This record gives sequence, C-alpha cells and structure tokens, in this order.
Amino acid sequence: MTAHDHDHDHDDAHDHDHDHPHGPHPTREDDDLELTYSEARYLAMRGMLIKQGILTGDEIMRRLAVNDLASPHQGARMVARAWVDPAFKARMMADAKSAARELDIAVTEAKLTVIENTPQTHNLVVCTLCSCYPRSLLGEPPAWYVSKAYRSRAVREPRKVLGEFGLAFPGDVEVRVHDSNADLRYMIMPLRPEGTEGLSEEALAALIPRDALVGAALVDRPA
Amino acid sequence: MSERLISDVGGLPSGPVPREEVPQLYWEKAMIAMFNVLIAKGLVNLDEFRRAVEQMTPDHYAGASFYGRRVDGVAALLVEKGILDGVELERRALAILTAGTRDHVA
Repeated sequence: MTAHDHDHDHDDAHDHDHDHPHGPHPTREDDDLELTYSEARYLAMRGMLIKQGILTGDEIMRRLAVNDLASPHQGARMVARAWVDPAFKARMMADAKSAARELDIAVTEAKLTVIENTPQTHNLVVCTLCSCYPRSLLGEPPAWYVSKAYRSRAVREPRKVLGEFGLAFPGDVEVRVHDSNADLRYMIMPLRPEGTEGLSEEALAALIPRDALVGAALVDRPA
Repeated sequence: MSERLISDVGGLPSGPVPREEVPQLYWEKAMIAMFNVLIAKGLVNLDEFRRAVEQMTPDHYAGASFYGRRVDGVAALLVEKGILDGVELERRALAILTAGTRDHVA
C-alpha cells in the first residue's frame, strides 16, 4: 500500500505482527469479497516491488486511471466516425492507431487493424492462444472471449459459435475468422444498420454494442 | 507434428461458449496496471510473459483462473530474473492469505 492508501487511526502501521493470523480485519467496511491465493500473491508481489523501490503505488494508480479510459465506447466512436466520414474511414483502414489519435484515443498495442464487415462477408475475431484483444482501445475482453470454449471452437466451427450468440448468416455470406496475436490486434467495423441516416455521430456510437466490435454481435437499428 | 503448447487450444473440441458476464475485480485491474508498469520500465515484456505461461504444467494452467495465470506468470519471471526472492514471495503471500486482510501489505 502506498502512504495515501492508508487511513489507519494509529500512527505506527508497523506495530502489527503481519505473519500472525488474526481475526477478520477487512480493509474496507462491507468488503466481503474473500481473499484468494492469487490476490494474496499479487498483494505480496506488489508489496515487495514497492519496498524494493522498483515501482510505487502511485505509478500503479496512474496506470490504472489510464487503463480505465479504454472502453467499448471508444471503439464505437471510431466506427461511428467512419460511418459518417469516408475520409476518416480510409485513414482508419490504412492506419487505425493514427486514426484513433484523431479522436484523442491512445492505442498502445503494437499494431491495430480494423476489418470491415460487408453484406457478403462477416468477420469474427478470436485469440486462440490466450486473450489478445485491443485492450488500450476497448478495455479488458469479455469473459466469453478468453474462455477455452470460444478459443477452441471459433476457428473450427465459427457459424455454430455465432449461432450461440444469436447470429445466423445465409450460406452465401462468407464468415472469416481472424486469430489475433501479441503483435497484431483486430477490431471489426460492423455494418451500419438501415434507418439510421438522420442520426448524429454520437447517437450512432451509442447503438454499437461491445461484442459487435469483435464480430460477435450485429448493430441493431434503433428501437 | 510436435506436441501442442498448453495454451494452443485452437480447433480442439469444447463445450458451449459461456456467456455470463464476469466483471473484473479490483485486484485484477490493479494487477494488470502493475504488469503494465513493469513492462513500461522494461523489466518484463509480453513475449517473456507468454513463455512463462506456456511453461506452466498442464495441471497448473488448467487449474488457474485467467488472472491467476497472469499473477503466476509475472511472479515466475520476476523470480527468474532475480528481481524478487521466490521464497519470500510465497511466505508473504501465505501470510496475507492467512491474515485475510488486504490492508497490511508491508
């Protein structure tokens, strides 16, 4: 813990015997989430790294704040801009990281490629090896994306997997699967729904669900 | 064909894709941020991390949660590089777990 995280009512935080098991001592009131071995290992690691001067709690907190800026909405903003601005779309397809910067979005992954769905081709993104995902843009991937079932099956039976997500495509629509890796991440540009001609860019962005940005959902027309 | 890496599950048979939303816990977010800081400082990199995860035993890999594997992969790298003392790390982790508190992480 960094100093500012402490709110002890005593001055000397070091007078506890840390190795001595004692009764319940929750950090925060009503904090009833059980401590797991993995979290304890993380806490131990962080404590040692801070004590050894390798990093500071503030550095972690600052990075946490940066990471929190990433969200599916940022990807949706890019797609909505591309829907209404063909010149932006061309720049995004050529260099998605630079295009993101135009919208004040900092993409830190080595390479980001945007793939466009068309009436003839639907695209789906997976990372069979682990969980590669454009995190700096979209945030952490959904649990289904990192599940072994999705990683295993998306490349073998994508239409069946898409069916589980409620998506069915006729046989003349090609389904392409893109396997991400640490050096190349993908975002899908979904089809713009019909009947949205009068909508603002902001309203368009609000229509785009998270899963559409990796091809596991479509964008529905507004209700 | 050589043996598959434990992480290389592409094309293997598996059950239905679980669709439940599992929101990230705070410690998981903080741990990812710590990992990012370590990368930014050049102390570890993504390729090393992948290798550390791929070296886990199949039982370890299968038994650990997604974020648990991250913790274990980063810990293995830091110990391997001599940045952290592995024995001390385990002692502290067990002490924290026994105490059951997130607070006193001295």
